[in-house]
Amino acid sequence: MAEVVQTPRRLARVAMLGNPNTGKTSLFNSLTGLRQRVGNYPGITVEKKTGVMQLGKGEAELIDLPGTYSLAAASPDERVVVDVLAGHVSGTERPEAIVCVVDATNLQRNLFLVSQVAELGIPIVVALNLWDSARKQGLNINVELLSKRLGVPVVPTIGRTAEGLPQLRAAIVEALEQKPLMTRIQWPESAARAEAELRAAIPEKIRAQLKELEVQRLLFDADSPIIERVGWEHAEARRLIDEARKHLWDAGVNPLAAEALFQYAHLKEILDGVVLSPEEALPRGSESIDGILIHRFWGLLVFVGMMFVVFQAVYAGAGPLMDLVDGAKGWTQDLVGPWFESMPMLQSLVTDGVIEGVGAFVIFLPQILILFLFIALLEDTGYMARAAFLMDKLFNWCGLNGKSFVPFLSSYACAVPGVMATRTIEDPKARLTTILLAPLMSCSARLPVYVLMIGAFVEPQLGSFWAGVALFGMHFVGLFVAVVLAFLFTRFLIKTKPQPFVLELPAYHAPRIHNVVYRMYEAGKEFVQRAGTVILAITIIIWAMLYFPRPADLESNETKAFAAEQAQAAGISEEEAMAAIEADEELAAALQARIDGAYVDPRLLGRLGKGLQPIFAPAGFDWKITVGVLASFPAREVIVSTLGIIYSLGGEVDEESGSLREAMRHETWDDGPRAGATVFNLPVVFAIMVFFALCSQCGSTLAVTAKESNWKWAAFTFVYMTSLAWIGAVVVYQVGMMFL
Amino acid sequence: MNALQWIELTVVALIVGGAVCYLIVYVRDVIRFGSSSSGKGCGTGGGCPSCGTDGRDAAE
Repeated sequence: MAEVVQTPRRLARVAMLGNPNTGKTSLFNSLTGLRQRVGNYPGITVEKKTGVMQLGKGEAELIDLPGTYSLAAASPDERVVVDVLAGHVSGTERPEAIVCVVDATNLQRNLFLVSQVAELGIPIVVALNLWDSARKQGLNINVELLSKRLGVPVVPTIGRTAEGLPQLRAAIVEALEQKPLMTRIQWPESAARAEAELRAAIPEKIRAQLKELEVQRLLFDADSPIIERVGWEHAEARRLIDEARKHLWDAGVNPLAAEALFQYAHLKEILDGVVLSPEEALPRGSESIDGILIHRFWGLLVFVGMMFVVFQAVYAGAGPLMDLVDGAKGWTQDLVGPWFESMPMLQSLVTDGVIEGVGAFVIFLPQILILFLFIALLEDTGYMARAAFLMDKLFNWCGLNGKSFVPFLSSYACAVPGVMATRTIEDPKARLTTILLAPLMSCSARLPVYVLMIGAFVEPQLGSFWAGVALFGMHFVGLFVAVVLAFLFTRFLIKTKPQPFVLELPAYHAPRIHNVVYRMYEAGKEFVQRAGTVILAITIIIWAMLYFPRPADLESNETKAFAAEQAQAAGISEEEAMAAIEADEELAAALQARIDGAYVDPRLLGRLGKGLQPIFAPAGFDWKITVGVLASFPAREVIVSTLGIIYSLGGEVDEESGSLREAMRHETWDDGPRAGATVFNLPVVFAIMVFFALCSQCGSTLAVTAKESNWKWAAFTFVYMTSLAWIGAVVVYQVGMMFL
Repeated sequence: MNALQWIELTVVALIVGGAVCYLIVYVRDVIRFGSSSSGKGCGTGGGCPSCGTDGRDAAE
């Protein structure tokens, strides 16, 4: 009897590859639906995303490879692509077919990568994605002719709407079954001889580990990581590669530019007559606008002007909405407070702690929405890429390049994705420098701190125009310090070499409302989620630390002392004074304020703040600001809710004082050389803002810094930023006081 | 202390205790996220506990 052996079902493996911004991820999501798995490639931080896609009656595993412009593996992402395609990654078998996603509006540049991949000898399917954009631009692509010339299936797709997906699935099945190979470039004699000579010269032990494509990469790429991977002695590798390259030099071709020259000539032939009306499709409008926007002088002027308008709008535009949120907070306190009349402790927790603390944070939601409205508009129109291009010169001066500006720009929203965006930087040292400096960019969590200080003190004294200027200036403090530090770091701490910077400038187009609204929604959702989770938790803990312990006899002692003072002043008995206090609302309020103030002394956070205040005294901070600063180390925006609770529990924020801003304006020094003077003058306000601009006050950012480098560098980031913040705050305060 | 005060104290203690526990778990997730370069994933679903960023979007 024949035995039936059950073997685990093995799925065909298909890799998806393409340049960044080709809509590859949308296409991957459409093909796999929810059947995805996310992990990491072994030993590195590059994410591995796989999914299962339906192919007719069967299924296949689809691997979404990181976006890359070429196979010249420089960055960790690009190295992963080469290693996966060559089958060198453990746990990831070599794919049996490759779906190359190309941007139909930019065929020649996108096909460069496809042409490189063709050297692997793996069946290929070309997905002409962004087909709708190509049509809108008036491009007329002869898909059949292109497919015939390439020798592989070519399928127009629109990843966003899943158009062309059935045809793409059919083409993948065809590729897996019929294994069509793409027409490969006929290398000129110089390149072919150079490759043959190098192949012959590579020691047998090393050659056995190399795929055909990798010999080419050794020949064409500068400092290929393949040398290290195969354990080839570096000096010998260099010598043999240079010898082989002589054939290219003899033919008058720079070896490092040879591949691009030959491949583009090859692609020009393939695309001849395929794209029928490319002239009409050229974004001429974009070119003429770029004449100004990426001009070394006018471009910078426009950039600074545009940022100025953004921050003026963020500041001025949010006022009415903030009043609305503030009103809702007061209304909620009035509504909820009486429910807990018989439980004063719980009432304090709910009204002075939760509602006051979380409300003081949520009030800044309008600013966040307006800021992200502008960020989304600038990104969606294609301007942000120009900003990165503009910064390349400045960054080159300080040892980085425009590639570092992209993570810096991301960090203006949040440093966590900003630090992760450094993965596109090839040079490990330039990448590390960017990781260390990205947290200095003014993230959206700093915005509430700036707006609170500027709204309470700068605007009333200097007017709304200068308030906008101050907000604009604060957003540049971090960038300015980062440029100076990059100069120092790259010369003395992490020495880097100048790197070339290649950036795709997308055509300008009108912003899509959906994208803009979605970006605002995401930012708003995250902000509110933080308010309801981490901020709420910290708020409750801070309330407890400011509420307890409560000595049982403190209230009666303070009442007796107050009555005695009143009796002595008015020449009446203490009983009469008590009756007068009960009858007079003003006296009763004064007594309550005295009791609230007296409770602060024995409280945990009060003690801690007063104990540590001398450290921050040179920056003009009192114990309440000190408490706010200490509470803000896990997340900087916590200072707003902390100050809200401190002033609320201290009795300063109530129906009459109206708001936290009012309470802060009336805060005075109890003792010391400035006794009686207001705590918050302009030098103190700017010292606080500079401290928050430079300090490392985000646990998540330190965690991601450790993830992308190690905990040693995360500790370094914390120490250098916090020291810098203290020094900056002290300098601002001391210099400011000289002029006051 | 009367019964109402005991109830009040218990409720407040539970809320504060819950907040402390939440913060401990949050900090643990953040540290795990920061220590996840081993390639085994961070154990928190792949994203940053603070903002949910998973790295791929950021890098692209």
